[in-house]
Amino acid sequence: MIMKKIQSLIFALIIALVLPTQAVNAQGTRDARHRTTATIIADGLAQLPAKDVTVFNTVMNEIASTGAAGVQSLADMLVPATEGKNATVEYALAGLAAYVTDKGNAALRKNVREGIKASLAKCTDNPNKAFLISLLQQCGTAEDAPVLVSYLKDDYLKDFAMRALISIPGTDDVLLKLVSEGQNRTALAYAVEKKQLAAAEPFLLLWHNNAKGYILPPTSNMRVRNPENLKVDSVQLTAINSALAAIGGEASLHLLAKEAKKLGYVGGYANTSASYLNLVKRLAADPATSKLAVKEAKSLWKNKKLPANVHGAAFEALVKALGKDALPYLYKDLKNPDIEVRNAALLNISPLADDAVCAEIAKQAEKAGPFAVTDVLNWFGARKQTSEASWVASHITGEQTDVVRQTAMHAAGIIGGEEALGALVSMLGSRFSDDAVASLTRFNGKADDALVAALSKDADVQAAALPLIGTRRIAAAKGKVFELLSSSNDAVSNAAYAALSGVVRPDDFTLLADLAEKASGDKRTVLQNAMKSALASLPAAEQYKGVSERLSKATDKALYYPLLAQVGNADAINALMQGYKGKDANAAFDALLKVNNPSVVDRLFEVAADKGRTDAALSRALPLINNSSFTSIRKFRYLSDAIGLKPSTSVLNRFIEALGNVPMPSALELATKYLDSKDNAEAAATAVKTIVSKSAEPMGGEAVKAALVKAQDVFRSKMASDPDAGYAVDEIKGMIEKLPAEGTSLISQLTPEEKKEGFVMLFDGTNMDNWQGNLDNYTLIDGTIYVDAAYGSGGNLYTKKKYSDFIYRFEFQFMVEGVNNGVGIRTPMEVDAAYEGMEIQILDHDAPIYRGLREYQQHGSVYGIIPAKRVKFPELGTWNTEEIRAVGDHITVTVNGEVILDGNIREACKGHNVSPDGGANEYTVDHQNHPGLFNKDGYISFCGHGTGIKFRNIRIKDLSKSKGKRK
Amino acid sequence: MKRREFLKTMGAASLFTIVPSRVLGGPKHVAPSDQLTKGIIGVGGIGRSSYHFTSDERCRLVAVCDVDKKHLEQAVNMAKERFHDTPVSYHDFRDLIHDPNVDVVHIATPPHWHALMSVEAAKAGKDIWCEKPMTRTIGEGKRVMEAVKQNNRIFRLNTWFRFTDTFYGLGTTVEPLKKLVDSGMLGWPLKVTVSGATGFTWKFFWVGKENLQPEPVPAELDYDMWLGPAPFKPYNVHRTHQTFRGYWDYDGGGLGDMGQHYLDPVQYILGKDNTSPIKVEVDAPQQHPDAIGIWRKITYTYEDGCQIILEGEGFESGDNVPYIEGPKGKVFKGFQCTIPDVMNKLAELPDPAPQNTDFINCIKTRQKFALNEVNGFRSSTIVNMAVCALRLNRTLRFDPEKLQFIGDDAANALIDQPMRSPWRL
Repeated sequence: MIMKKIQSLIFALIIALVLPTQAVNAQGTRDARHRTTATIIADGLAQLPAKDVTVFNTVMNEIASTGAAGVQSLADMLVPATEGKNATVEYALAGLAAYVTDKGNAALRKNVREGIKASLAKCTDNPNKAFLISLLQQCGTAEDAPVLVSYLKDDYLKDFAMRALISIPGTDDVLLKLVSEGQNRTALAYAVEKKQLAAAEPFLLLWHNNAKGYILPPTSNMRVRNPENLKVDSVQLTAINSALAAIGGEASLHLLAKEAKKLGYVGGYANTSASYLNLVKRLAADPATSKLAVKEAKSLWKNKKLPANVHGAAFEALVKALGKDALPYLYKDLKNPDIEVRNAALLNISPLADDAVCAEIAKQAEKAGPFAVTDVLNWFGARKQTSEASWVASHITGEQTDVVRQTAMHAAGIIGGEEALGALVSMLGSRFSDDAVASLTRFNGKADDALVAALSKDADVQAAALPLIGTRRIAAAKGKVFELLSSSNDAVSNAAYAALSGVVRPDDFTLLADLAEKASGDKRTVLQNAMKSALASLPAAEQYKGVSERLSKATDKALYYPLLAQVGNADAINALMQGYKGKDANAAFDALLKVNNPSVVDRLFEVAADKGRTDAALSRALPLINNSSFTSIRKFRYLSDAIGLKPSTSVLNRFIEALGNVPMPSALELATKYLDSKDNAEAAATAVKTIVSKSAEPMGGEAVKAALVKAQDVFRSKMASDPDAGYAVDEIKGMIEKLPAEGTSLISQLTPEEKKEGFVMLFDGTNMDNWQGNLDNYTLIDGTIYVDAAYGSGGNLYTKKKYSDFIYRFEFQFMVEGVNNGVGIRTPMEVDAAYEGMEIQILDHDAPIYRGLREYQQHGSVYGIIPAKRVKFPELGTWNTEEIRAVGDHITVTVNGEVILDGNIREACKGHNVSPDGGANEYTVDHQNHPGLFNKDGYISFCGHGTGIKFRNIRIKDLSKSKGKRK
Repeated sequence: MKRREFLKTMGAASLFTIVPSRVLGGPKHVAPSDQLTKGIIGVGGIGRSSYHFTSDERCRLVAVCDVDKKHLEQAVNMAKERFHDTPVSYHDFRDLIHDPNVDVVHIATPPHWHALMSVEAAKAGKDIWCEKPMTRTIGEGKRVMEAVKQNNRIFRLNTWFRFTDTFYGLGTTVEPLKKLVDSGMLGWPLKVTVSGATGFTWKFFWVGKENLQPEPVPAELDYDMWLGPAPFKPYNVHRTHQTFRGYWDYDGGGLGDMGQHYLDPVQYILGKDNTSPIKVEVDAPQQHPDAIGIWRKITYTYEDGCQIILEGEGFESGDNVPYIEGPKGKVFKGFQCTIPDVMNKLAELPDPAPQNTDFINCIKTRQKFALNEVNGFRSSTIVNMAVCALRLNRTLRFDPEKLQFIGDDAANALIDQPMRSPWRL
């Protein structure tokens, strides 16, 4: 669609522009490539929106270089929105305005500014004019001010023009002149504020007097109800007052003080009070005017009737003017009953609060009382005021109100320090134990020793300290924890058991297992967790060794299942499967669900087939599949198998939705099937949308379109209840518009040459009719034969017919690193083709695991007989082509167009495919006997079952019939 | 004594940040003076959603405001139905803000209004709950920060992953990540990748439309008041409710709308609550001046070398991309970490410093909320920096102290955009 739009634009250009401007350009303003301005612009537009910054810079440079006339001709192409589409021209113009503001492109700025202005003068459509002015706002200079000023008389455009005058640097004089003329006061007052035009003060004061009493009629029911509560009644006064606050001096201060006082220093009326306070603060910060401001601030501060935020503003002004000399005001504020006043004062003094100030504030807070102490404790905590650590800690113990004590504990945890630690530990087991535990859990410092020591105190303290010991994994407490297991106090004993997990290490496993085998109920569970924790730091194999030794002797085998789940390696999974078949099936099943290893997925599918296990097993398998590094095809097979197992609706929907993670045609086909099912439609629609949008190879064609249309209908029906559904509808609309008429074909065909030469298709992507053997692991998927041997049973794939001499062509793709497969030729079935026939090796020999590979094992080699030249494979996921030509003893292998092997098998082993004595064979490179090497004929096979390889487009030319002719 | 003053004065005696409810006299006990009141401005999609449209014993909904009569009517009916209570309805947000019965102003409008309303509420002495993104420009964010400070208000920017919930598709809460980073086990500097591969979607369906046709304004909508400070552009329904996110005048597309959700926790994790990146680089197709488009990659760099990478359309790395990568270790989605036995190692370290996450208690005790006008401004600045770079299509350098781009007037003009008269900030 985009292409079409651009083409029609170019067409419009040719008609509207090329002819007249060519006459001008005939004078010689063509660029280095001899293009006219019109052509340069047309070429540029065809590339917009620029796909990246390089294209952007090139196009903008070229267009801007066509000069003001060129830019104007571009801007002249804007039409009223109802008459045509402007987007491409807008991209170009906005791009130019941005491009020339980059320092390096300053030389071209004038072209763009002048071009825009010239077009603006001719333009008659208000929105387009506004757009052009907004471009000047971005790239204009003070030279453009007169043009902008001329638009201040236009009701539609004046706002755009004024904003441009504000944004453009260097327009101060122009704006001041406008101020002196007195029009557009609201907008100009805003400009004065933004540009900080102090010279405008006398005019603004004058305007203020004129505006006085000008009150807008009420616009809302609220004011009718509450007429005394006035808000922004005067738009103009608001702007003037705000500007005076930003630039005013003494005269403004007097005026605003008077006005604000009338309003009681509160309310939103004309922003009066806020402007007054801002002005006081601004003047307070300037030594030249601070005396005046301090007078105002002090009188405000003393006024007891003012709300806290006004009182706080007064204090802020005092701090700005007086610095630390404002502290006495703070001390008085600390006695204020209003919590907001106290905290505002603390907040405002913060930048000046050094250690000495903090110490004095602490002292004053004590005098003021517990409310102030509470606020100061919180303030110290938020500041991490370490110099006051002792003062904070001193409020944890002794006579305190609850609030003060708890606040102190909270702050002490953040600030840290030895005294705090001691005080917090001393509160363990008290009425405030929970607060102490909370603070100690995040205590800023090392709390270990103090906590271990607490275990020697009385029972309440022990019980409170033990959970902390466990959470923080304080190993030094281990001996004490074991000792407390047998405490006569139940609370302590239970807490000690719970803490075990944190303190045990691998060498405690045996002791724990001894205890666990004798325990029952909650203790058994706690000890299971402790055993898990003890082993956790060991590698899986070592963990397994420890667990299996106990397991083999244990009567209660289920005790160890959670440990096996943690181990999670192949041995552990097997042990759990064995358990699943035994008397503790449920426990084994629960443990299987906790294994965090993608290899458990196959086992989960096995048990998912059992009654009552389906949902749980599949629900567990899904995240493992999604997060695994399985190939997308393997993931798809799991998903499709899971769907086939008919889980409950909610689980089924999760699997349908997960099809979106494997964006391939088969997944789309499967998801589409569920679009009509009421319970699954939304999941299916989500999957369809995701698959089509994420597919690496663009999907297209009628079937895909139909699926998208259906999915769109599903989302449309959800729009009322789900706002995001509306976006999905829009997103699919965009996808349908961009959808290619034809999708990538999954069917391979012979080339005309191959047809002529007599090749036949063995696999064209549609069926496995020419193949036999292991059709479980060699499956047809998305037009390819996909090998997934980790799934189901083993075995090779064979042609149905036997061949002797032939040219065999196919394509293969490695999907994961290190794939091992091979093409068996002239081989019987169900034997090792490398010896009982011949194997042409297929191997991703670049994988690091094959570093020690022998030459005769490299890809393309006649395995063990003739080494091939080493191929450098393209990256994983790329299709490779291969041809194997076998004529008598002569074998030729060509990969990606390069001959990598061309040799004679009989010569390679000097005729001795088997050693004369039947032992080691000194004639073959692998020193093995290859009894089938000289077979006359046999099947062609794919042998090997490493997962992660795909084959397609397999053809063969049988040469046996034409053998005579060839020689 | 007015109701609110009574609350503040008495409240001081009995309340403070971390007091559990048991100290206050048992659960469900709320003295009338303890109950706050709130008004919601903007009762469209977000304002009427279940998370925000609440009224309970700690904070009662007393007022709603919208410039769309239908939204307003729906909200009032909803309140009647759910809370058996009829809130006052306002058309003009200033009426709601200055209503003496409203303690807390909850702003759920499109982002181009957030700054104006926050500042107005701050000046009126109201506490503020503002939806993300905080503001649509850096300059507006600065104004909010100043106004909140000057009036000593409590401000909550509403996104929450820095302190609660599993963080989108990342499959973990933020706390262990913070602990891991603070422990130094990953080394320094760190690189954080926010991408489909690490569990985040940039919602590129939130793009705008070009070539919009003028349409008649629906009778129920006060379009002039909906636009407010934004430049006047002829009405088209796609500019407004829900789809406004696709236009630079009101928001910043998926980046603008989701960015602060995703990046605020990153800022917290990296400990950058008081600073900003010094550089932002963008890789994107050219942006339209009105309708927001897609982008491929955005790279932020902090002064100490830490980086945040946003991966957008067509640029997502595979699943092997860590969420956080440091010289000594990596952590992936679902807290998969290259450091052996990491959870146990972390357990031995103190938990991160506590965060004040109870907004009502923050109001009563005047303690800053966990995500407030200061750190909220910084995380909205991360987003808004990239918006400037996208619109100008170039790399920008930033001064985190002066809050200005370095050597780029056009970029700085985007930081501080004048408002449509008579709106001012």
